[in-house]
Amino acid sequence: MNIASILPEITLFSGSIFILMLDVFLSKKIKNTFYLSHLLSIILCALTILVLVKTFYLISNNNYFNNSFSVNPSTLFLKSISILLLTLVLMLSFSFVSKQKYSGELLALMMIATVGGMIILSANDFIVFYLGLELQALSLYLLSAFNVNCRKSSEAGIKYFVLGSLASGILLFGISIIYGFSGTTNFSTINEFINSFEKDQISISLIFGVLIFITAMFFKISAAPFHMWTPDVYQGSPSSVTTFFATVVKFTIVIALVRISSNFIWEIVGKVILYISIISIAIGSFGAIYQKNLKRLLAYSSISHVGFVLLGLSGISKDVTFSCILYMIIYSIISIGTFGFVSLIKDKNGNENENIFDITSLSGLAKTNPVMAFSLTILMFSTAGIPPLAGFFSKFYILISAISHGLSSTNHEIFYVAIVAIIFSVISAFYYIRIVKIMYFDEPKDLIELEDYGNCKLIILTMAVINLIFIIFINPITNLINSFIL
Amino acid sequence: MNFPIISILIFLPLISSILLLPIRTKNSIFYYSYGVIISIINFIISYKLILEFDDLNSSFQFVENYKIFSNYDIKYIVGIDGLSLLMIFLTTFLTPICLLISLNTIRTRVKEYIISFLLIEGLVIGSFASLDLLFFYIFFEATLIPMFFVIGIWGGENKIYASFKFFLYTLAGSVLFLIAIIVLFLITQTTDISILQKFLPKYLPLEYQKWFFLAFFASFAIKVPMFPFHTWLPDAHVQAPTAGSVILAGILIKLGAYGFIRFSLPFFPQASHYFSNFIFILSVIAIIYASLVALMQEDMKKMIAYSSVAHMGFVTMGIFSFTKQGIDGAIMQMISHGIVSASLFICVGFIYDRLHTKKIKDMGGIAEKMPDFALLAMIFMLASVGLPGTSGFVGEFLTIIGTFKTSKIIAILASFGVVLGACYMLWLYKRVWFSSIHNPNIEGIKDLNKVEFVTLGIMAGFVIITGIMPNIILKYFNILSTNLSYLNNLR
Repeated sequence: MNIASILPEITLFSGSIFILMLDVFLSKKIKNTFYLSHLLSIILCALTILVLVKTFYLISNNNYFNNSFSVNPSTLFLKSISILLLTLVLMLSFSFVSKQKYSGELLALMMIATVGGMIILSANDFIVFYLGLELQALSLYLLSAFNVNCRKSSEAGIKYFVLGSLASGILLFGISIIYGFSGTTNFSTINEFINSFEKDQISISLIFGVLIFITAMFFKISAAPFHMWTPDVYQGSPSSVTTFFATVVKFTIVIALVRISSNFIWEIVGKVILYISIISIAIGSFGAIYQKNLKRLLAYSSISHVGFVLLGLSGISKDVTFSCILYMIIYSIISIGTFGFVSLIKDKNGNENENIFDITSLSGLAKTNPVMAFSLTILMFSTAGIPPLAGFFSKFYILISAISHGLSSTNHEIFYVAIVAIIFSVISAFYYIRIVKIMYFDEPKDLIELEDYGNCKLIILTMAVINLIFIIFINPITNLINSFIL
Repeated sequence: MNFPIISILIFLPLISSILLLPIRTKNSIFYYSYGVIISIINFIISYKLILEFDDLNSSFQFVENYKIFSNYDIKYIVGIDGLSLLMIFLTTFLTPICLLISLNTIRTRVKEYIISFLLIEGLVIGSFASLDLLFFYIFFEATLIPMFFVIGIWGGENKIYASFKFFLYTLAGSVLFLIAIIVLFLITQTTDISILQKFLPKYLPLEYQKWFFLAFFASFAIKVPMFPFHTWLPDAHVQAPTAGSVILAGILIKLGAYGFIRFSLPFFPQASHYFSNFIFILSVIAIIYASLVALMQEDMKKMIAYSSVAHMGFVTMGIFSFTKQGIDGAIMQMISHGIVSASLFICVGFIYDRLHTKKIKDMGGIAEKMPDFALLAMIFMLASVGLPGTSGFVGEFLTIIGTFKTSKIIAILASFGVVLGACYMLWLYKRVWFSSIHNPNIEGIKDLNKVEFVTLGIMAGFVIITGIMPNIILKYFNILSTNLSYLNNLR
């Protein structure tokens, strides 16, 4: 039964190794004519989802491998979503991958990083969690430096590697302190250990350990003030890899944090998360105003989104998990659209270079490519949280859980922070609608070309339409998420 | 009651605008006729609504109720009372007119233009008809998106500044409104307006009411706009295309006043009393200050924009007088101003189409060359001044009577505003329509064509009929204003 519980991970991992091997042995000609490894990887994703569904029927709500790996409907659901996101990212990176010399490695690394994400989603033990996180992180360091000819890309890789390893070290430090004071690394056991104390009797060192651990996680999810690497890495990495960062990676790490912190959130930790959240929203909103580069702008926007998730997380109410998961799902849908759009941008010769990501290069897009301009407009208004688009509802649920906590508890800080947060979101609306302005109100400059891969544009349009019609399907969607989480 | 007539009114324009998206033809007449036909169908439906409406029934009518959120008690509820009925009628009346008058002026991106206006129509009707606080908010906020495009794409030379100012100002106000809605929802577990109206005044203590009132006020005061928050309006009006100004002055800014009547007053009566002096003072400042500013404007559109601020000052003053006359007058003034300022903007638009200027100093002697136009414009000018026999008089007169009962000094100060209104409007008329011709372009100017004449004629007829027989409108909100004036006793 132990093996069956990790069957999805095994499938994806061994499949990706297979694709890696295949890539070595096949001649370049065959690979380029059939996009063989690419198609195989998409088939592999579909297969993994099938295995996940199968696992859902085989296994019911249990922990495996000495209680260190929990598999239940909730984790399976979240894993399927991350695989779906991976599939979309792979479809969007079609042209990028086919131009690469080492296409097999690229695909394999993306899939292995996702395996790491799946492991941290169901980890029930700090050691397993750490291993999953490192599996993901090591693949990501390589991915961000994948554009070997571009100096920015190498810079991004090195920066990410140095800072990321530092964060991993801090993470281990936190885990060791927690272990030192509780005598175990297992989440459930630690939870029992904590519950055996009165609320104010919890050892301060244990709280310290948790804070150190959470600090390292803040780095990984790029919450301010640990966000410095994000704009550089997002800018330097190849666009397809950035899409992967902003969707699959962010989704898995943030959700893993949400799942773990349900064990460890006490008053003081909640307070730290609260302040981190408001700092992230502020830095994300103000930082983006000055950005001229589209990728950096979106990186700052992702920082402020993380801030919103943390705002929901800092409240200890029963629908926190629900609202955070809904927020991350909607955020990932929007990110697939926006970053996917960014990965289509090429200059007139069909190459990527630095200048094309300037936001003014989008000017007049509404005349040259109305469908993409429409999609991006919907996505931008949705990110800004304008109703009736999906982004509004994600913020709405976060605010409901945050404010209900603020009203019920004795300190009303979270309530005031929620007000400040939403005022910052008006500031961030400025730079989202500035992009709309550039596309619709300015005259075309004819600097860029959007790569014409039919299905990429279709995917972006679909993401926009999902945002538009979300309001109609809000009931089934929330029911679906609720039924898997509870 | 099974026939979802209100939902049809809301979703017919919304869906038909979405259907327009994939169509690609260069023929602008096709788009215009599509838009006009859809909006006229909507007008006919809303006329049917008026015929079937029972003005002696005090509860909401044509109610539809669908559950949307499963885990929260937030429902899609729409229904109308007399106030929403008239506002919806005003919306469906002005939308086809907006499209008709831009037939000759807007030639670029016609498809997007029609889509924007249909979206605005559907969303505004939605906000007037929704009986759920959250859905009101959704419709209310969503109107920002199409209006942002209308100002930004088809506007004047400084359009980008104006569109950003419009968008961010309104958004900033309404996020506080959103917070208040969420807190209200968490306290009461519902956002159903009719339930909230029943229970909030009784059970919510004054100290909480004050905060809720201020949060609602932030949103509505910016939308109305009241005195210190009015600065976006002149910019938006001057830069917007004619039809954009019409929709903005005619309908969108009424949403703020509607919010005061529908939410602030019945939800938080004690807090409304508490703040009524504050609002009186802001309203009087708006009336006198905006009139004085209007006197000094060189741009016709900007002048009418400032006159809008002054007229909306009467509305807010009347609402917070807590008397039947005051509230009646405020609603009357909303409708009258919706028609009158819309027609004045149309008049300016007609002049602009012919002379390509809005500066008053370039005008003079238009009456000589355009006698029909001068006659119709005169009617609107006088209605704006508040001459007896026009709809403007009824509104201003009733608000001042109502306010006089509550606060004499405020009423006296406000009546100075009426005099100032006469000053700037008549002076404007003199400088533009009379006096001698000194601009050579005016020599060759042509009078109104048939479409333009009929458009303005219908509106002039409306102004005069409601001025002489105000009861045909007043009867629809008789019960509403009586109920609201009873809130006075809750003090």
